[in-house]
Amino acid sequence: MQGVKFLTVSDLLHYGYSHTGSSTPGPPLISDQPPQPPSAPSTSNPNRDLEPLPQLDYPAILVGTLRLPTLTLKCSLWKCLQFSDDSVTVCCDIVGFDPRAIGKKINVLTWNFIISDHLSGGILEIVKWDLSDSSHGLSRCSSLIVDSFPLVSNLIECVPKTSNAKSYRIHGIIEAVSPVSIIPCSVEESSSNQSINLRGFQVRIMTCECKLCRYEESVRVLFEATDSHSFTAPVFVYFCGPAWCWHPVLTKLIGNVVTISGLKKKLILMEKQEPFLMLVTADNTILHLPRLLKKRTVACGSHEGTVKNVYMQGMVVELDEEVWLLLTNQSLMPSHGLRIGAVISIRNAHFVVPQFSWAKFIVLGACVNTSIIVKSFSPLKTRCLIVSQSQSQLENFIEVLGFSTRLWYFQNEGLVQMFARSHLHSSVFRARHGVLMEFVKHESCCTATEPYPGNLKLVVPISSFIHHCENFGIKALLPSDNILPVSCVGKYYQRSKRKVFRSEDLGIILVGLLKISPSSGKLQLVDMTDSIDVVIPDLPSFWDHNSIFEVIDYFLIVEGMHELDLPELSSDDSSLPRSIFQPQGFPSPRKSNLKIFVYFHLRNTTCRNRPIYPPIASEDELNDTKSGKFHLIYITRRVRPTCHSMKLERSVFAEAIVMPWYLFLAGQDGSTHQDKVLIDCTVGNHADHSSSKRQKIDCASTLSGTCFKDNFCRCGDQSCLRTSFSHEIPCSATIQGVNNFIFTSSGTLYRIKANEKFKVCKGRAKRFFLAFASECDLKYQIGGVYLMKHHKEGRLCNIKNVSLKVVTIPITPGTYLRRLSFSSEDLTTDTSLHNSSLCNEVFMKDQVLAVASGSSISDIHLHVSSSLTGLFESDIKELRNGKNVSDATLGRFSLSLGMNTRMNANLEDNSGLLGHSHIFPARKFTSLCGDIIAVHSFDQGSSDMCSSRADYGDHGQYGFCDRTKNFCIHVSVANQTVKIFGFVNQYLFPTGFGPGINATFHQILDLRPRVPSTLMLTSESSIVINSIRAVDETQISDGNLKRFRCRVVAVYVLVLEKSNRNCDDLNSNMQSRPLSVDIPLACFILDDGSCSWCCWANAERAATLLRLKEYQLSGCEASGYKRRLVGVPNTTRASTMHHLERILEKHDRITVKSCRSVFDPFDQDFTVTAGSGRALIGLDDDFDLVASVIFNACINTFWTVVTEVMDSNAVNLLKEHLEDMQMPMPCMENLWAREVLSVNHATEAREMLQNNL
Amino acid sequence: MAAQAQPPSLLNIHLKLLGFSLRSITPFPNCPSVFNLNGKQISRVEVLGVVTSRDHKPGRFLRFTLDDGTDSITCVLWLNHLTSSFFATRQPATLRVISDLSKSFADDLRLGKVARVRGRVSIFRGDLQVTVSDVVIETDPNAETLHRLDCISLARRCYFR
Repeated sequence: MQGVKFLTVSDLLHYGYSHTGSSTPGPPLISDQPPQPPSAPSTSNPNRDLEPLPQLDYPAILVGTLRLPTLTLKCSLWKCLQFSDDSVTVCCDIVGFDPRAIGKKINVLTWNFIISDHLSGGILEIVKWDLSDSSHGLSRCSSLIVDSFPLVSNLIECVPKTSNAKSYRIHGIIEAVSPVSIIPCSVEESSSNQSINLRGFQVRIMTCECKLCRYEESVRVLFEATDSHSFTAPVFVYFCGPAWCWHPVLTKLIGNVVTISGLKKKLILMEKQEPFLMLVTADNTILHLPRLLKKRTVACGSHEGTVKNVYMQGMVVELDEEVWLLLTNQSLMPSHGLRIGAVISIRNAHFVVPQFSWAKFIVLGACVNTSIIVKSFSPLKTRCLIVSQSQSQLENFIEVLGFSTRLWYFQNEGLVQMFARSHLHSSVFRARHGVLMEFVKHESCCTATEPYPGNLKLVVPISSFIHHCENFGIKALLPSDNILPVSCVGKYYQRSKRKVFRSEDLGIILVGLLKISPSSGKLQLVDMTDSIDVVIPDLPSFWDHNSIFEVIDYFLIVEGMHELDLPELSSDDSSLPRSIFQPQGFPSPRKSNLKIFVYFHLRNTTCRNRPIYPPIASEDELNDTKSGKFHLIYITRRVRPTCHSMKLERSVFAEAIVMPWYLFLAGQDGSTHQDKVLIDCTVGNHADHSSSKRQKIDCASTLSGTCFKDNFCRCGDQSCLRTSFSHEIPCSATIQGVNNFIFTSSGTLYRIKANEKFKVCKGRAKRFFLAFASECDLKYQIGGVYLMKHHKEGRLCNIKNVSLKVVTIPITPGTYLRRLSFSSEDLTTDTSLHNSSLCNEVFMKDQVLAVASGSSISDIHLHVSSSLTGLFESDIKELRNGKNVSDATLGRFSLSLGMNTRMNANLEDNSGLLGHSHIFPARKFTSLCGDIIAVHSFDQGSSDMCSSRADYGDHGQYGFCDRTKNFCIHVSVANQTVKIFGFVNQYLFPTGFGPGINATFHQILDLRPRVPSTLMLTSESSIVINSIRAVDETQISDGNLKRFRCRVVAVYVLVLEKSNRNCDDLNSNMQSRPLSVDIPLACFILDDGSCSWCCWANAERAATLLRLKEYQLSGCEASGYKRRLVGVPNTTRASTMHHLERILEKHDRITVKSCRSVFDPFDQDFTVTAGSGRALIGLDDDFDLVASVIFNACINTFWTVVTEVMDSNAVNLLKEHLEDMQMPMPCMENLWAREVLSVNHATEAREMLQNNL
Repeated sequence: MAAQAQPPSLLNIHLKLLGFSLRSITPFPNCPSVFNLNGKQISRVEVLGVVTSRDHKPGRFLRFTLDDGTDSITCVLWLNHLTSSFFATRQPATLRVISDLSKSFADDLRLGKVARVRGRVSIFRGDLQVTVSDVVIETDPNAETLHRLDCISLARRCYFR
């Protein structure tokens, strides 16, 4: 031991940092087991920075005494072994424990010391040790020596006291040890009755009832006769009083055969159960242990694993191999040594395999029977586990849940508890009985095989949900380099890809508030952790911002491109439990190129906070709505003023037209009720439910007469009033208020005669602008009819100078503006969700999620006589089409079905206010409805776009911001594709905008015929999403993949582009070399002897089918092209790729179109066009090469091609491509090549034979 | 797609046929380029066999027979693309490439070689022959086995159903 420094505990504390020390120089031996640090931490795991414990740079030894726990040491567990020297005592844990070391001086040869403020300085993890007094003989070889340990004496080797009372002895295997608990009791002492707390724990020992054990044989005899015992009878021993401090020893002895003598029998009464006979330690109780401990196999659940992470203040411990340990039982309190990187052994835990749809893992549920022992200390610099003893309401609540349920309730108190209680079936709750009772009656208190609540779904914080969706979505989008690019203005752009997932496939419930984001102006579901964009088709104009919605039924839509900055995903990152317990920070940084949003109907959600926010309509709201006169206004378009900044906090305007209609509601006779659905706290459009309480029209008609007099007669000339109205239509209104309070009211609709001078108000404009304080407020739909309340002092009713060109009415939070919808009495529901057959034509085969649903969503629903609804509708139609000019035409086809065009004369009139004077002098504005095929942004400064911009004029004059982006949207309208360009703010695009939707573009600039098939988004434009296509991705993923062994018959289309990549190493393997020619698109006709297809491919797959990677080019050789290759090195000369590179150097791009048969390889003729637009003709050598390449592709043997069926969106894109090239779509099934493989004849033949052809 | 709605037509497919099956096809009346195979219209085939004879007229044609073990099939490879008026409607540049390729096919089609031939079926002087479109010389003996298995499998699954 020369050169070894003797340290004291004070020295360790003095260092002030966690460290590891050893008596031997070199790397520390952490334990007697091989160290098992956590396996390869993932990139997103914050523990990736875990460092090993710093090592003392000199050999050292600690000398001190190992002691049983006392109550005097500052330790929350009260059950740690202690290590003390002359100076200080600290908590400790020890591997290779031997009971005989207790009370002895030991030399600690290797240790970890973990500093912790929660303990008395820290914890000492004793890895390697020996006894200071070696003469004591702790040699492990000596068997059949039985040591005796009196439990109550501090002096281990003192002679036990004799007692007259009958004492008992048991011999058996320690099976389980309960936590230390305290029983309040009164002990009679000679001096006085004093109430003290009795500290103790129970041990379940499986004893033997053989003759040897029954008779008073010596302890040594018992241990010698190992084969004669049968440990089958469970006996409970209560270690109470001074014996409680043996808890850590007994825990470490689980699985060992022991003899305990000097026990007393006591009749125990617990709750109202039958009296229970239990053995209790007494003053002379002795624990007998053979010197060579033999562990027996423990029948109960046992698991050993490495701690990968600890979450939720130690209540959830992640072990390797997807095992999750639940330590919610507060009394359990595992050792401080349970740190990340430690190997722990768990005995008597409940193994639960939850059948969650979203993840597969094992839950180890810890209960009062469970013991956790550290088998190997962590070599890492991680904190020790400190479990707080204070038990909150939520923790108590968690305790009553089954294990698989319990895992998911570690969230904010209150909401979570309430939500869980309302959601869970009573069968998952278990009554608790305290440690003593549960330990003894374990089977009844805590069933090992708990029933799995089948309806259980996961509720996660939104931040975790987003993190999970990002990983999930990225994985789904990963193979996206293999998707059809979009061609636009002579260039190819990567197309973003969308994936739609159903909530049932995710198995996650969302819970949050609905708010409009102040930064993006978009509707979001929000919780404390994060927010996610949502699309809610049936969102009313007003909703309670404090309502907590539970969203079970929804669609998750993820959109991204392969250019995504994809992190390297490991399986660890995508583990949902991990992402839940290890939040990425609130809110987590989003992946910028990945768009995620959720689609659901509010009517399918459940409001979970009704007890907190009772569903009553506010007084103001009732007063506002239940009676009075209302103007009907029709919103025609949105107008944004010249933008000077990107801030949303600028006024935006909506142009509205005042309709010649008034609504009068007779509030005093209208009934107010809480819709029956509210009892179930369900939110929705309750028009249907209210029919039973609908007012009869007759009644309403009678009422309206009174109201008419009361309300209108005072305002104007009484004699002319009746004659001023052309119609009086009695109706009943169903009003959906804030908090989903539904009430009905009877009323009358009045229509003013055409050209009537009568005015209800003092002054009123026919057309005005609603001024919204910010973009966030502008949620009103273009083409919607709204109610504005008539107020004598209101702005709308008091416009003095109606000749004023521009009238603006500011919309404040107090302004009454509600969406109105109509139905005739014959109708029970509005089914016109998506009535335009045109809009659906492309997406017919897929499920369509309606978004803008016309009249079905409203705040106030009017039921009117069916004969009169037509009148109102014709008025709206007149407003819509009032300024129509002749139908727009696009090329040969009329677009009248999908487009409404009008000259915007009024905008010019009003443009002074909005800063748009002389902006659109002679341009046409148009509305267009169509299916979005692709959306892409242009490369800044691309030469192609510059020329396009030149056509459109200087975009600055249109009032665009400098920081806007260039977008091009390809829209399929009436079987043709139009392009909508725009240099617009991204805020223009509503949530959900992207390929695969049907949308209506309002106020878009018609550039035709100057620029064919082209329209333009302006800052005036607005986009309304009509529907979102939802393809069942689960079907696409595998089911639609087809695999063929086939040959190339012909090449229909081929586009070759000069690549930006350089491949300098010309001698490298052709197969592994990156493509030096870009192939954005190619169409091959394939034939397998039974059928032929159009197989579309790009990049590597197209190159393989073209045989570009092969050295030999028979076509090239044959065509005599080689004559021109003198002087080029052989390896280079042989490669077709090299020839193509050379000609692409000249032409940048070559497009080859088949202009003859596609069914005969040698019956093909081609049109070859260079990038400049020049056609290559037959005299050109380059033509020869291109023709040779194509013929060469056809002279091949087999390929195995894995293809996927193209969705309607992709087929539309192809149509667009081919239309651009003036080529027809081949009459064959279109497939997209996912993989092209060469064929091994022998293998294929063998497989065919094995599969019986 | 119209093609998807109708039962798949075999007219423009290269049917993989063994020699004896090919012998069984009959021309449709008044339509010499279309043949009847089990009630199905066909015009193109793919055959594979050993070149057992060749009759080479440079600049005009190569007539050769392929023996696949079940029958001998007469094939004709035209070599007059640049001179015959039959190809007058074709692009001269493409014809030049095709002519060169055909010459190289003719060179490759040596006696004893195993050739895979695609082409149109026709009747010449009352005898069935295949007008060659393209030729692949197979060097892997397993290709013959695989072709025979393909022929049997396709006949069961498709041609004779």
